[in-house]
Amino acid sequence: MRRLSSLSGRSLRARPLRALLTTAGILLGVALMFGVLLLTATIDSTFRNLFDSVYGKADLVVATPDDAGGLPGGTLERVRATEGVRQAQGALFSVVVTARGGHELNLNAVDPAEPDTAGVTYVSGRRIRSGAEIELEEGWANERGLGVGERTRLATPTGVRAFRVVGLFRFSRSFGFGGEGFGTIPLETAREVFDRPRGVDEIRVVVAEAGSVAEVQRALRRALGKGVSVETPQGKSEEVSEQLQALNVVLVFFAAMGLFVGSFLIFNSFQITVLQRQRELGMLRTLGASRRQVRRLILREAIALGVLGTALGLGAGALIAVGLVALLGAIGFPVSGLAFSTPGLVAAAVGGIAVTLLGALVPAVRAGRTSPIRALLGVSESRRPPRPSRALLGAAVTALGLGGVFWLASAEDAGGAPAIAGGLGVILIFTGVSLAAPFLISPLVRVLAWPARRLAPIEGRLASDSARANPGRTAATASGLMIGLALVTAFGSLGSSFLGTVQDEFDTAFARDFTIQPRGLSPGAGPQQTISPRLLERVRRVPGVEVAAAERFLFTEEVLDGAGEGLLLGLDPERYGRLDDSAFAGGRSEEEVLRGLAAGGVTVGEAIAKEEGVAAGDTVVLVSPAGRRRVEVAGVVETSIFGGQTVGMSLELIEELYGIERDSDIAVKAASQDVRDDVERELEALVERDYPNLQVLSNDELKDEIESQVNQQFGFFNALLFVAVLVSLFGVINTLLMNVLERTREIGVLRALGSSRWQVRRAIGIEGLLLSMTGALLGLAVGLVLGWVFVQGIQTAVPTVSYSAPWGTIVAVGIAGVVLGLLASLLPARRAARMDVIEALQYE
Amino acid sequence: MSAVAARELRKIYLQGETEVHALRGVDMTVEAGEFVAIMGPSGSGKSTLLHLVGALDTPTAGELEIAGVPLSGLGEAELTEIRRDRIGFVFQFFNLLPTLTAAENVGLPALIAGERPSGRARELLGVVGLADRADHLPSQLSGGEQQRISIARALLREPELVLADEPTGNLDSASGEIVLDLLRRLADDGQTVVMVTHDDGAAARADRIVRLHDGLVAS
Repeated sequence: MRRLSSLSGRSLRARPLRALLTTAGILLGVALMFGVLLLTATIDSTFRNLFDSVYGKADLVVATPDDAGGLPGGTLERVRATEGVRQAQGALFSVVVTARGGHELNLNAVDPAEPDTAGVTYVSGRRIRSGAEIELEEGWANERGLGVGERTRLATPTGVRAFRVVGLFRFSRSFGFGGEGFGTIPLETAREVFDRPRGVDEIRVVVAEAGSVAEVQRALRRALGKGVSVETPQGKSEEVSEQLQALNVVLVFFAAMGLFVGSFLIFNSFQITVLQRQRELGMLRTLGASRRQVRRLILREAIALGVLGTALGLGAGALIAVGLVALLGAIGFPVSGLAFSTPGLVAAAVGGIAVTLLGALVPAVRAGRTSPIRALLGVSESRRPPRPSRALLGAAVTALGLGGVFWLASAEDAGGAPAIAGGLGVILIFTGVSLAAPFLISPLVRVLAWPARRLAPIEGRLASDSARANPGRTAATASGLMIGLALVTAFGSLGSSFLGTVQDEFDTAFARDFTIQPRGLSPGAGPQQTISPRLLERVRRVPGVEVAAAERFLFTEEVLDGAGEGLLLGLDPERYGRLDDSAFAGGRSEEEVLRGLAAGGVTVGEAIAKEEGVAAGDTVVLVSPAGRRRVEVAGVVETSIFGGQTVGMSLELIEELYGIERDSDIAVKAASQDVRDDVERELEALVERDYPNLQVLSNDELKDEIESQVNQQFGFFNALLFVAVLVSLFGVINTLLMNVLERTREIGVLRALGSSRWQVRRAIGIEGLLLSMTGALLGLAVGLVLGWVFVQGIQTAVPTVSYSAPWGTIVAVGIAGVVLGLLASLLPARRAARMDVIEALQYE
Repeated sequence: MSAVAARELRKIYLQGETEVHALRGVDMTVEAGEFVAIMGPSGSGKSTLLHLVGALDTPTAGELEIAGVPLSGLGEAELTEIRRDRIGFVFQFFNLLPTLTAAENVGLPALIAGERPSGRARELLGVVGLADRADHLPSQLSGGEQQRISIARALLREPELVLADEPTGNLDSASGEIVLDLLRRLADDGQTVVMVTHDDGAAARADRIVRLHDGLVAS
């Protein structure tokens, strides 16, 4: 040993299990962080590659701002007439699925006579020419076993159509699209198949002179007006990146929670060793070690663990990222192969080491304060009970945190200051509760131990005493567990409240019997399948159908002039009244409101009305590709769908302004309950025959559909939180091991008095249960309050939202509490049971 | 210059709500090269005196000099320095670091003082008769051997004063004798040693015995 600092390494090696458990905690936290950062980088690069590929040779892309709906008539001509434009290729676009298997395909349509702007190379076959020909991206086609010359049946907006594969191509930038398919058909064919007789969705522009892109872009913007977007492919991918910012922030926040829990583990682990090593630390002090030297000794140990855990965590993070990419793909968000991110690597590494140091700081300072007199005494310092002021501080910090969360929930715009306040708020809540936790531990454990003490009086008593002997330690352990479980609970509360509210609204507002919609319809999650209005005609001819009307959705970044994102919906004012019983503010009747829509007015959701300060009779401005339009507010809808960020208008208006010519779904009402079943059978037969991509849903089925979509999305975040819970599991194991070690002599006495190994095991098992159940109860309590406060905050913006308790989550968290406790006690219980009785009795 | 000079030394501390007058005015001088045993029943104040003389604690009143340095008014950092540079400790429970070898344990004070380890640790192991145990871990050594190592450790930085707190309290009598012989030999070579003990046999090996009773020097 050449330096005092090597004592740190010796000390770690002397306690390998503790070092291992602590490292595991850091490892998991860093892994989650790195995994999530890699995932966000991957999502980003997916879109960048996507736009680079699809627009390989194009310099500029003219499209609607929301990449949905058609461009206003005459746009293509105006683009061609703009100076500096060499080529302007009009394209139509539709999401279709394979008739068998339902695999999604992004189907493009261009005029084959024009030069290609995508810059693809043909691997086999040739370019499309005319008729029912299709060319496919090689990777997707190979996976479906589709070669040149083969036929494929696709479910299109006008029903199932057969195409002959004439070519397989490769994008200029070859990468995996996470299973996303791309294909192209002739424009003339698409006009019929997509039911788009006029106009185009997108124009790809090649400029005449290299270097004049910015100039042409300005010229096009002037010529086309504000409602149309003129972007470079890079600009488009940046737009998407910006839209994904919110998702990225949420992902990183959840990952940070794993690290946060990790710091609890480190804090507790070092707090315990410092206590156990008092004599040793005191001896160093008598030999003249300064406080600083002792402090650094502990911090160096922490850094060693932090560096090791971080290094391993970075490796594990790559694996986690692979898993997350697969998970995202499974919930309909395909991303390409993993992208590397140096900033992500640095952030995760710095985060891991910073969190370790932060966790070890208090124990290190405490170690430095060890009195040298400890070296002369055989006993440890008696633990001071926590000061009551700590409970007050904890309560105050918690309240402050709840305030921040409320602010975020009630904010009109969830970015900026409210988002920071909300994120900090959650951390403050957890910090506050863990500060106050030592005061809650004793009563909580006593209550929880009651059943155990009835069933196994001795073991129950010992376990409960052990958990209560050291409220600070129990509190820190339980708090780590609390964080993950509280987030799961709070998140579950949001999900159940959101779902409950939407489902209630369906119950009261839906006068329809069925909804016909594409499978997996999810407005707001990228391009959606659409239905040609021809189907509506056929549905209306089905015997027993009293009324059927189409709805058209457009998720837009600017739902009204100056407002944020939301859902535009087009509906049929003549028929909607018989399909829907929505409630309107100020007691306006639905008839009155629908007359207003027919006259060119709009309905606005309550949330927007509140934010923008508008009421029925006021005028608002719609911003569309066809320009700005002042319209009258016909009514304010009491709705919570899309957070009340909805604007409704007639089908004519959404078509005129936004170019939405196809239907998103069809609402159907049967003439009577007697014919309802017959109608359902007929509709299903119709859909099954010609539209296998659609489904006929009763109102209950529609509710289930939405529920499963919500559950999928929440499931993804729960998977992230699972890692945080796993970190805290290591904390419970660690604490139990320390408790066993400290009570060695007591366990020896028990065994000497005739306790069996099983009884010892049982005592440790009960102690594990007490620790984990305490964490689960705290987590449930904090999570329910957090969720409730969040919903209250949302309510100030969206009054129709109401709180529903997440019963499923509550039960799941309770079960998790039991399972985690038993799992954590396995190893410590084994250790305790195997102790040599004589040695244990002599242990000091 | 005396190794230890205490005048009217008082120490009062709080135990719960009651004031405990552990030392009520102790006068004691230990000359350089002397081997002094401090004796007294439990509660006589001998541990408190040891803490003060060891610069582990500061007196409530009175004056105390260690090797000519007055302790009154010194802060935590200065006390640490005095312990590091002027005092060597020998404990009842040895307090060797279990993860270090015998030689490393002996060399520890040098590392704490920021000095490079030298051959002196092994040399001192020779002095205490354990040259062949240099690379053993404490768990591989007997209690007596561990205590001799802790004496070697106390000597490493050539302190003005070696303080031994019940050095034989945890040893069988044969091992105890070896340890006492060692301390005696050190004193004969000019090392100042102050030993707290309640064993008459051990105290008899010292040059002089200071008896404490109820916080005062009884003889």
